[in-house]
Order: sequence, then structure tokens, then C-alpha cells
Amino acid sequence: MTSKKQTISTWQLMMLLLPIILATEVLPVTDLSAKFAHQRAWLATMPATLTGVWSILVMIELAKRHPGRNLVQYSSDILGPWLGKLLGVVFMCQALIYTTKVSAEAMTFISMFALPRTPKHVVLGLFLFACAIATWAGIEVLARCAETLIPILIGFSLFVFVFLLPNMHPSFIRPILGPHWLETIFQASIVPSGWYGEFLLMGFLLPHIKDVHKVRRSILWLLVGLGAFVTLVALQSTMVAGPLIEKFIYSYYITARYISLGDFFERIDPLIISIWMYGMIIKTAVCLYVLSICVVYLCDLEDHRLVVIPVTLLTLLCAMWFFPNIAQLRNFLLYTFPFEGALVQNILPTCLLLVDKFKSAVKRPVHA
Amino acid sequence: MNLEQAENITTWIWFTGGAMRKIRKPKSLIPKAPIVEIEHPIVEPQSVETVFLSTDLAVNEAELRREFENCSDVVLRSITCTDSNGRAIHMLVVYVDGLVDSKQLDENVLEPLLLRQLPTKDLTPALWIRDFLSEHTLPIAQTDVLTEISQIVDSVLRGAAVILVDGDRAALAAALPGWERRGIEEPPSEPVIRGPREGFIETLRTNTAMIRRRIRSPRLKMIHMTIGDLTKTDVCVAYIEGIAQKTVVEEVKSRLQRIQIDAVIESAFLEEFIEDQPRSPFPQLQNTERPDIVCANLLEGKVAIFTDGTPFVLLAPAIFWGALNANEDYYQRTYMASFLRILRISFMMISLLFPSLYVSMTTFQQEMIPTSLLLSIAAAREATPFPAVIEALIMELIFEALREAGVRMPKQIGQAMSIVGALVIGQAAVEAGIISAPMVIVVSITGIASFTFPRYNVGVSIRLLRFPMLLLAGLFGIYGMAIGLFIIIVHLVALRSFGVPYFTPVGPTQFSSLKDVFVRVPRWAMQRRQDGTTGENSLRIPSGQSPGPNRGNGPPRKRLSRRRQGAT
Amino acid sequence: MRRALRILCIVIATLPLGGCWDRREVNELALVMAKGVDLTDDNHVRVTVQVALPSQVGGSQSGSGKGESGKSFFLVSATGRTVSEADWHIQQKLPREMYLPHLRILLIGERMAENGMEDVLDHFGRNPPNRLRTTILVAKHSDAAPLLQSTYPLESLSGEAVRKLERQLTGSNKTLMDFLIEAAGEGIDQSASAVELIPQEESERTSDEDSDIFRFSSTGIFRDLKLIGYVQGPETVALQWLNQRLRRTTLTCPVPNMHGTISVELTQARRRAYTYVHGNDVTVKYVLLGTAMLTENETGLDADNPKTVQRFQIGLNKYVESIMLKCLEQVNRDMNADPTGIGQLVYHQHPYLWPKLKPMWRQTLPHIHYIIDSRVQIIEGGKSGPPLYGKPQHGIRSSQGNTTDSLEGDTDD
Repeated sequence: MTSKKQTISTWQLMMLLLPIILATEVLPVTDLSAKFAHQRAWLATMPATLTGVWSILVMIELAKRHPGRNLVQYSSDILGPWLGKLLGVVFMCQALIYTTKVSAEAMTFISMFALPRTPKHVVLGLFLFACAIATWAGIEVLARCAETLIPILIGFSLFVFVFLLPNMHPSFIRPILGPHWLETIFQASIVPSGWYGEFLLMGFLLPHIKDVHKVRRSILWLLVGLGAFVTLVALQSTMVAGPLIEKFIYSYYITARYISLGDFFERIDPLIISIWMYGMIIKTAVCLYVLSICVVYLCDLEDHRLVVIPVTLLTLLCAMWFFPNIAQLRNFLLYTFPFEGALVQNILPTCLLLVDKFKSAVKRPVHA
Repeated sequence: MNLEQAENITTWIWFTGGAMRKIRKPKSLIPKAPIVEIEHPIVEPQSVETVFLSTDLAVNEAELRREFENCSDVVLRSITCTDSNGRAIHMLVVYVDGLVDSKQLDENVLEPLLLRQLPTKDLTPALWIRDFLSEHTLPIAQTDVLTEISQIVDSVLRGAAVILVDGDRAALAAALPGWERRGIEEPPSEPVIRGPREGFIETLRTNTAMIRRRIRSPRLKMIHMTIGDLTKTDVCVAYIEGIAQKTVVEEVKSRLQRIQIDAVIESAFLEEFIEDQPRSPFPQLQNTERPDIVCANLLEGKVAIFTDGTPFVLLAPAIFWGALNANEDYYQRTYMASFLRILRISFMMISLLFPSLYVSMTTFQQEMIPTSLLLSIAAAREATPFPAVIEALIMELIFEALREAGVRMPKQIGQAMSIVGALVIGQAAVEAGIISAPMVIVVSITGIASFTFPRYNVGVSIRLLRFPMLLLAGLFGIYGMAIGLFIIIVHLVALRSFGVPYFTPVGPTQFSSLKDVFVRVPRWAMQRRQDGTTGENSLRIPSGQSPGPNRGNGPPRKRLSRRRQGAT
Repeated sequence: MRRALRILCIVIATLPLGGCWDRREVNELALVMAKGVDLTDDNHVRVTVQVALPSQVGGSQSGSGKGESGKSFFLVSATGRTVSEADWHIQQKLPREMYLPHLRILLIGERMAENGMEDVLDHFGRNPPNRLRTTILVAKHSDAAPLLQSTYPLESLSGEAVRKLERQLTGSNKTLMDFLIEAAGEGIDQSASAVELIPQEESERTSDEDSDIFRFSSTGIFRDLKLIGYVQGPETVALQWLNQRLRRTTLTCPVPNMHGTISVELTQARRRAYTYVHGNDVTVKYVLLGTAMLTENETGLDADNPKTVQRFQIGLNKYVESIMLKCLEQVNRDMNADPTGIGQLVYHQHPYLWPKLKPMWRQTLPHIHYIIDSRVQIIEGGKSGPPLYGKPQHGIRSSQGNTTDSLEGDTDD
């Protein structure tokens, strides 16, 4: 690692986690949850945050027990070198899935709506180039980037919401109840829950926090804010597009491009693309950072900068290779990611925590 | 302060000149880790071993004449005086014609020596010089006793008259600096409507005096150093003890001391040596000609670097948002100032992005343009032969050239120049159908926007970054612009100026300091200094001073004061 | 650092080599302002696009003003099996790239609409350049192409004229998104404003040109994406009101027990709807709220008198109720369509009962009971109280004392 320990503040941590969840969730979340819950998609976002609570509590507890060490490091501490490294590899693969997923999403999004004729690898290359620069600069710079850009992103999204107010029909969210309403909501909440599991990345960010004991409250508030924001987004899409949301791809984007203010301020989707792209870039950069940290600790290297370029190239290849078309990507997000994510993001760290607790419980009587 | 007073204070140079020698000696003790000992010194060492004065005046004179060979402006004047015993004493007065106030030299040096009776010269040589000439005879504020030839040379070149006495091993340096200098006037590069009209001049002491006169506190420290093997330029590092961060002061000093250069003509020479990231397009030090700006920044915990020979004072550490703050913001009403801040920030974005936005909107994202406007643009572009990117590049380059020509040209020609340019660009090119009219509008708006920066050097960097943005926009449209902007932001956020993040208080967000970035809150609400640049003492204004009917009788409003106490 | 710089240089140098894939200058675009879709006799799709001529529309470069000669647009039309194919065939005729995002008007020919809109809707909902904000209109008794051909004196682009006319007049501005929402929604059928081309009246003709003019007076009613008929005149207003899309209109209605009529301009029109389900028996209650301004008063009564205003209100509300009823009966019974979304109301208000009603909704539709309660208030009487032309008539107030105490409308079947 870098010789100087880089630290970030709690606010910066929040601003880093915000795009991690939001950037990729907001665009597809409404249409994916609406596949099950239809007009109740906005209700499905709140139960999904429970996964986030679970993930947050586990990661913070682990970080408290192993201050200054990251997920890969303390997996080895807890499970011994071999099993620990194996778990580290699992987390590394998960990080690779993140980077691949996000960059593929960004790529399809951009090439579908903004640059249809530009070759995909150029779009992706440019995107990853920007990410790699931020990753190269380190977590501190990333955090500062996040706190500069994320407020803009949030503010812009709220503007979009306000501008869409004239086009909203509150009746579209009716009926709220109805046959099987509870089942559909819970079915639908499984989809976004995968994203909230991405708090797993805290395992790599918390070691940079000065005082881990103080962050839990802020992060939980962040989660509430995130849930509220996603609910707002889902409400917006539902009230504008009504029964169409489940049929659109990126319904948030489609509804946002529906904005029209006095024949002048309309068709602002390129603006939306570029502003949301900042969220995606920051998320990808953080994931790239985590991925390179994983590689660094698994291979006992010195500095994460050594592996940034290879890791970025790997992501480029994977994104081109895993998701040859958008249907594959959406299928992955809809059916694979929630379950795979639950395993790696929630169950594995929880097992890790349980083993750790068990070990310390066993150890203590020996000392006494 | 009038000029004479300033001149009086310039005699301080002596004092600090002496202090300089004290600083310089331990220089070799400072670990010079990053500096490799230069193999070929820039200047030939004049004498390796120190040459002390001889008791024989003729020897000394020969030595000095050798040193000042072919220096027609150096005057060596031999005089002969008599002491109380009637014995003749040979003396030699050495000075540089033009650097020394000749009237003072006549009245305060030559007249007492030649016309008055001097005390008997039978003491030990050094003491006679010190005790009698300096303490009894010469009515001069600043004197110094010198014993080495090199010291004499140094003093003479700084504007002293040095008196050597036959039979003495010491010489007396009398500070009589009196060279011609420009009067203090309003700096043309930073004019204000309301605010002090003084500007710095090329003389270091006058400049430091202007600051000292504004901050009458011994906590205002001014550390002197000399940089430049040939020019021996005086450089003064000023800061307020307790407000400036100690680490920053130390860093500034050590970076300045590390500089090895033959000449320092302007403060920019220093700037390029001491900035953190030399490859950045953004200036990491602020420069100004205005004493009020320097004072305000000193009070915010910054360090000022004065350089002799230039009116431009460097301020470190600089932050990006400082570039958008004009000094007048603080002299105007808060609403006006805040409005201007927001205006400047938006025009900064325009100056960076507008041409590229135009290019990407007309060649990639035509859907964003309102239909009727798009039709007008399409009509205007029907006949133009170039693609929009090329058109934009050409026009931007022409505009920059015009601006440059306007700056360098003599004023009379400069005006003609701009008229011709405006006609050529604005009228003829459009009418001939070579350039489309909207492009001219875009370029001129961008041009205006780039002049809204209160700090010229930041405006220049933004102007430069416009070109890569233009290329990206031409290649990838708004998407490319977004990527370009992101890279710029990553760079800005990664940048540091003397350890302070350049993008503070936005980059690392410091909510309490945001009061002076996008808006300017009233003075009574700016209770604390900016985070990050200040040391331990951050309180500026005690709370509860907001004007109101309750002020003056009774304690300040309780709610406010309690909250503030809680905060401290 | 130097190596990174070198790599950067190479990257930057290679970018322009292949770059600019999506770049197209404005003067390489054919800006499509309106698009018409028709059905040909051999069941193919004929697409007609109205392409703007920027040099005629936009401000001209050398300031010579708008060219008097020639139209500001031209039409290109081609056929194909699908809309996309027809688009491609149009592209083959155009030297410039057809640019669709600025499309404002989608005009569906009557035959096309009657045949079914599935293909059209899928094309417009899928192809990214198409905007869902495009206004959708039905060409009444005509194909779309002739409507696009006509010039309109006020606007340089007839498509623009149609759109503005539609928006300011009916205010409905039904976009593709709205139409699609109706198509995908539960228990609602589609409707779209219909534009017709009528010959200019004698008084309108200015010169030798014998051009026709647009008119909006009816709404096309769809059932299962097929046009099945139109509602006309006041019923269109009623339909828009029931769909909460009415922006402005003028209603002329008789006043009970008086000769002459009054005209009011609606300044606000809302509705509330309630449904009651008993088994297969569905009752819908519409409460119509709104405010109106008196614009004409033929009765000679003093509009300054609150009692008179009340009488006017009763007349107005009776009239509103009657047109609502007529409209509902026409669409629900005669056409067996549900453009006002009664089914959707049931779905929203009785989500548990809807699944049972849904399969036989078409059979239920003609037998729905309506309760219509109009509560429009006349809040402004115009510039004058009594008619300005009248001679002073003392005692007119006492002569009209008969007021009805109930403002509630009657409950029709």
C-alpha cells in the first residue's frame, strides 16, 4: 500500500457510498421491480433497504473488531491464510463483477441513447479511462471527487423531479392494495436488495476512516436517505409513465427525457446522461480501487497503482465479454445478481463475523 | 503614508540585511536531501577564503577597486579629515552613484567628517569606528560595522555609503538608500470601484511597510532572505503568528531556501520553484498588486512572499475558489457580492464549456436545442464550409490572437487592432459565409466570460483547458465533455497548494467555509477563518454582532451566543 | 510520468483517426417536423414526413429575410411493410440524414387507425430517436398526407400549426406517452384528437389560392387500438373533461324558463369520480367541478344579481350534465368503448373486485349506471352587469324572484 495512510471523513464515506448504491440502482430499479410489483414498485424500495441494514451492521462490526484492516486482510486473520485467501478471491471476483456490471451498464446506456454509432469499446474505453485516472489518484481524491459531484447529481435529480411535476398523475400509483399486494411487493423488493448489499464495499473503505465507532449512525441515516430517494425516483417514474414502467428499459431516463418546459427546456436527456455518468464513473472508480486493493493484498504487492491498469483492462474485457447485449445484462440484474449478491455480500461476511465471534468466545476462557 | 515616510522605513533593509547573514550561515546545516550539489556554480566564487580588511587603507582601496573594476557607477572618494589632535586621517567613502541619497550623504556623512573636529584617533581601530564615528559623529539611523571586503561590496551594492578609515580593520556602513522609485498608484490590473487605491511598487520595503501600516501588530512577522546568486534579490516572507499554520510557514521558508538560481527578476521566478505540482495548468499561488488583498489573506492565515523588484506579491496557499473572489466582494453589500460570485462561477463554466457545448449540441445532440433555435442555427450553417469543431477552433484561436495582440500592442495601435479584428471576425467572415453567425456569438460570449475572472492567471488556465474540451466535444459530444470535465475535476481535487487541498472547501467539503465560496455572507456572520489554511486561532469575530434593535443595550442575543459557545 | 504522458499522447493521437462516428452537422440533417402514417391499398405502410427547409424557416444568414417564394417545408413519402422500412425508403430519397427527435406531430391516417395501431406504436415506443412527447393525432375522414401538404398562413410549418392549434384549443395535447399509457392501462380505451381538413370558407379566402384549413372538433375513439368512431362537438368537450384534459372551451346553453342562451368560458374544469359495484352492477358517479366566466348573455337579465347568476348556473349545470350523459352513452353504449376509463376507476377503487369484472367488461359497459353531478360555478360576469344596450328598466329585479334552492344536478339513470 501507499506509504502514507490515506484517511477519509465520515461525510466523504457517505458521499462515496451514495453513488455506489444510487448510480446503478436508480436507472433500472423501477422497471425491474415493476416487473413484479407493477404500480407498487415504489413500495418495494423500502423493504429492500433491510438488506442494506444487515450489510452495514455486519461490515461495521467486522471493521470494529479489526481496526485499520480491510476485508481481505481480516478474512485471513479470522480464517487462517489459506481459507482466508480463498475468501479474498471470492471478494475479488465480486469486485470484478461490480466493475463489469457498472461499466457494462454505463456502456449500454451511453451507446443506446447518446452515441449509437460509436464503437462500444471506444465508449467503454473512454469511460474506464476516466475511472482509472480517478482510481490511480487514490481513495482520498476519489472521496473529494465524490463530495464535489454527488451533491450536483442529487440536486439535478431533484430538479428533474420538480420539472416533471406537471406531467405526474398521482392516480397512476393506484390501487395501492389489491390482490396479492404484499407478495408482489416482497418479490419486487428482492431485485433492489442486491444493490443495497453493495455496502460490502465498506469493508475496504472503513479502514480509511479515523473512528469507525462513530460512523454507524451516519451510514444508517444515509441508507434511509437512499431509500427515500429511490422511492421518490420510483414514484416519479410511476406517476409519469403509469403502466408503461415495467416495459421500458431505464424508465427513469425515459421519464426524465419527457420533461418539457415551455417548448424550450426539453429533450434534456444528454444532460441527464452526462450527470448520471458522474455517479457511474465514481462508482466504477471505487470498485476498481477495491478490486486493485484485493489484488494487492492477495499478491502481497506494494501499491495499488501497480495493478490499476491491468485491472482496468480486465474490466474492459469482461464488460465486453459477459454482456454482449442489453437483454443479458438485464437478465443478470433481474435473476442472478440478487441471489449471487445475497450470498457474497450478506451471507459470507455474516459467517465471517460469526466465526470471528466464536473464535474470540473460545479464546477468552483460555486466557482466563 | 507619504513617500518620504516610506523611504525612511526602507532603511530597515539594513537590519534585515544583517539578519540575513545570520540565516544564511546555518544554510549548510539544513539537510539538502533533494538538492544535488551543483557541479558548475552559476557564478564564479569571488573569493573562496574571506578577505579581511587590512589596516592599510591603500591595500583596501586597491582591493575594492579590483572588485569594482569597470563599474563606472561605483564611486570611491578619498577624503582627509583631522582629529582633535590635528592629525590627518585618511578615509575612503565608497558608494554607488544613484543608489545613495546624495543629499543625505553630503549633509550627514561628508559634512560632519570634513567640517567638524573628530575625536582623537588613538583607540583600537574597530572601536574608533564604532564608538566615535557611529555613535558620536554621524547622524544616521542605520549603521553597521564591517570587517570583510565581501561585506563591504555587499553593502555598497545595497545602497550604503561605506567609510573606510586608514589604520582601522573595520569599516562603517551607513545606510543611505535613495534610489528613484515609482510613486504609489492604483494597480491597473486590479482596479476597484470601492476600496483602497494603493498598489504595490517595485521596492520591497515600501511594500512591506504598506502591510505593516495596516496590521500594526508585532505578530505580523516578516522573514527576510536573499535569493539569486547574481541579483541577490531581497525576498520577504510575511505571516501572522498564531493565525498562519506553522507547517505552511516552515514549508514556504524551506522551499524558498532550496532555490538555487542566478537571478530573480519577478516573483514568477519563485512561484515556479515552490509550487506543488509544476505540471498542473492551474496556478497554485495567488499573486496580487494590492496591499488590501495581501492583508485580508494574511488574516486568513496565508503567507505572503514579497519580492524586491516587482509589485506582485505571492500568496500561499492558494485555493481554486479564491480565484473567483474579488476583493471588492468584501466591500460591497452581501447580496450584490453573492450575486456576483454566482455570476462568476456560471461564467467560469461558460468560459470553459460554452464552445464545446455548442459544438456537441450542434453536431451530436441536436435534440437538446429548441426546435426554432435549431432551425435558425441550421439556416445559418447552411453555407458554411467547415465542420463546427474546426470553425470553433479557428474562431477561438483568432480570438486569442486578437486578445494577445491587444495586450502587447501600444495602446493606440491596440485599439485599431481590435476594431479591425472585430470587423473581420464579426462582420466580414459572417457575410462571406465562411463562419456562421452563431459561432461568432458563442466565441464572443466565451471571450467575455473569460474576462470575468478577478484573477487573471486562473482565467488563462481555464481558457487553455477550453481547447482539449473542444476536441473531446468534437469527438464524443456531451459524453466526451463530461469525461473531460471529470478528468479536470479529478486533477483539481488531487491538487494541493502547500499541503492544502486546492479545491477546499468544496473538494474536501468544509461546510463552515462554504459561507465564503458561492455566496458571501455578511461580515458579522463570518465568525471563523477558513478551515484548512488557518492555524489554531480561527476566531475572527465574536458572535452576536449582527446589527439589530437589541444591540447596544443588554447582552447579545442569547440563542446565538449559546450555540456558538457550544461550537467552540 | 513521462511514460504515462507518452501513452496519453498515443491515445489522444489515435482518437481522431477513427473518431466522430456519431458526428453529424446540422446542415447534414433533414429535420422532420411532422410525420404521417397511412395504410396503402395493399396493406403496406405509407409514411410521409414533413422536412423543414431551414433557409426558409430560420433567420437567413445574409439577412435577406424569409424567402417569399416556395414553401418552408417539403414532403417525402415512401411505403414499406413496417414504419421503419418506410422510414428507410424515405431515407433513400433524402440526401441528408432524417432526424427524428424534433418530431412534434404524428398524424395517423384514418384507414391506418381503423386497421390497428400496433405496428406504429411499437416503432415509436422502441426506436430511441423517437420522442414520446410527440403529439398523436388522427386524420378524420382522410389520409395523413393531404393534411401535411396544406400550408397554414400563420405558421411556416403546417405541422407546427397543427400542434399549436391542438394545444391551445383543446389543451389535451395527447402525446404518444399518454396514448401508450391508455393502451397499456387496465380498463381504459384510447382516444386521440382528430384533425380534419375543411375547405376554407368564402370569407376566409384572401387570394386565388384555394387552400384548405384545419379544424379540431372531434375526438377519435379507439377500441383495442382500432379506431371505431368519433365523438363530435360538445361531446368532445365532455370527453376531455371526463379525462381531466380540458383546458379551455366555450359552452353555450339555454337558461331554464327564459328565452335566449348564455355563453360561458370555462376557466377551470376538474372532475371527481366514484364507482360503486354491486355484483355485476356498476354505477359511476362523476362530480364535475369548475369555474366559468360569462361571455355572453342573450337573456337580457342582469348578471350583477346573484340570483340571476344562480339561474345561469342551474342552466349551465343542466347543460353540462346533459352533454356528459350524451357522451357517455355514445361511447359506452353505441361504441362499446371505454375512453373515459370507468374500468380503470373500478380497478383503482375496487382492486379486489376488478379481476372478476375484467373479463366481461365489454359486456358490462353498456349497462353502467351514471350519476352526474355538475357543480360548475360562474364566478365572473364579464365587464357588464345588465346588457349594456338595454334601456333602464326599473323593478326588473323583483320580477325574477323565483329561485331554486337546490344547486344539485339531477340524477339521471
